[in-house]
Amino acid sequence: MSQSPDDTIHVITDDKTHFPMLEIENIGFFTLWPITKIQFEMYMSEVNRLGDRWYDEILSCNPRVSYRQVNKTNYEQLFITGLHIEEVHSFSEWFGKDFRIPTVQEWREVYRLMDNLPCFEPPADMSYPANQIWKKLIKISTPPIKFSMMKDGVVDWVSQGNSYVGIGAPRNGFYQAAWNPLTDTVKKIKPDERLNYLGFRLIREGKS
Amino acid sequence: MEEHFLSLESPKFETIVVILDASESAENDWAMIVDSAKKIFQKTPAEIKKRLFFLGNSQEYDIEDFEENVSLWRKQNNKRGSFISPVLMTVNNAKIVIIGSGIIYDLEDWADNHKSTKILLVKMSESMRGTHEIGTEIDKDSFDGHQLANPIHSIQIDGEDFMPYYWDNPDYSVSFEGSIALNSSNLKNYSINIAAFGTNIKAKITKSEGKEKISLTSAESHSTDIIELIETNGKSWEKLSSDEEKLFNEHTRADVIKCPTCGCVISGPLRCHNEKGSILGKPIYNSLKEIRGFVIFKDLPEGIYYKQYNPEIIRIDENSVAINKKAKSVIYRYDTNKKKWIQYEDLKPYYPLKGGYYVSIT
Repeated sequence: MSQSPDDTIHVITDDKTHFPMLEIENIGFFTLWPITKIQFEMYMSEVNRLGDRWYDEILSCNPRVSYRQVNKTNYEQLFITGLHIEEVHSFSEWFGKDFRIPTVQEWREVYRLMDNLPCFEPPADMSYPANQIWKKLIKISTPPIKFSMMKDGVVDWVSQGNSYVGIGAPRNGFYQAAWNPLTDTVKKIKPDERLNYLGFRLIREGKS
Repeated sequence: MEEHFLSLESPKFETIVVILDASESAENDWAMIVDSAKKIFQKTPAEIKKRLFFLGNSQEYDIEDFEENVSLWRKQNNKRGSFISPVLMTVNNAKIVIIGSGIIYDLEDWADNHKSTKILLVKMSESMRGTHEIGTEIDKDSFDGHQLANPIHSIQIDGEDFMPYYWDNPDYSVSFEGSIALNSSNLKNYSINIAAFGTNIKAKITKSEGKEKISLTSAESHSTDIIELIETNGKSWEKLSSDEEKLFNEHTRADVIKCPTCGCVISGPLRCHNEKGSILGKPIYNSLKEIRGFVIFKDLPEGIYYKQYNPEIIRIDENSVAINKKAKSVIYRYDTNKKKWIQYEDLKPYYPLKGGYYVSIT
């Protein structure tokens, strides 16, 4: 476990994919980045339910980029986007007990925390691909709010009451919008539409 | 001069990992995929270990049950997606054959990994690697299960200032063209133990497809001492007859060595060339008539013993060897100024090694 100078946040790894996860005092566990395609591919391989045709449809709206080829113009392609909310729920069930998408309030609380943090140190037990992604992203955006992709990342699914909306602030080069994540949320207009900017991260309340 | 005792274990056949693409992108090619897999299982030699996997799945399947279960296995793997990582994270030290069709999404992630050089993609219809130059991709029509065995054609062992003076596989021979090397080809067993002068000693292996260079394993527990090598290897010692023993004692004390029959001077092989009917000359020791090449004598209080020394080169001191060249033996010394082995003089009969051991050529 790597400790932040601010003792309220620790960077650990999740048990399923060994990607970085934040352990935040009084909040719980929060995936550091939106779920990546590599993590989602682990899920696909394990559950044997989705297949190539489904994945081709997903990749057609946001193509896959290997961590070997990531740069500041394409890093959003690391993340799985374009999923419907039911697909996100299925993944979160697989990811671990009690994991779910965060509420708007939870997301914003983490966002505010990120704004004032010093840089993260990588946890020692990250998987090889997670480590490679860390090395690439830290060169692209060092401040935690950007490194975590809460700013200049993708838009994340969040829950709001009984419905689900998007929240985030993508960079203009990826998706042009003037959304302020502290005040705005994004609603999917067509339920069947796969939005290339709409990814997700997961939260679990409580302590480890 | 550095001296080493080194070993090369006969390179074993590589394991072949067969990965079948049961995904949706290969649906139309499934029958051909199964046929190609059977080709591999049937045509590769039995001593090559074969392992079976499916794209997207780290679980290994039993090839013995292939025929009866392959349809069920296909269903178990049809919706996992075309991903190679689950399998590549599981397997090591193997030739990897992927039979399928359509892009493997995560193949590019492995481009920098050494395993990618061992990947052979057998394409049924659509490319599995797209535009990325990862592994080797061939069309199903040019695939034949035989290609995977990749047998060894020859091995050459050499190095800087290399001079072997003991080796235990008689199917290796020394070549002196250019640099000194030990060579072998078309053998069943390429294993060899070597005692040699030199540094950076390596084996160059030529296979049906490609070449590789490997370092030999250092066996520090083995001595490079020539007497120990003589004592611990080869045939057992034989005793000279009492007449021969007398001759040996006369010869080892004399300045000039003469044939006991005709009195001619013997300066090289222990043979008399004045005997009619023998092109090679008649051995002056009857006991040595079956021996060609180096013979070692051991002078003990209870008698004189002899044994053959099989290699064509023998170490005679800390920077010299004697090389058996047909009818004579020549001493080579390492010249530290010129940094190479230089021909010095012919090996005289009964050249003393140490501790009552002598070497001659017959």
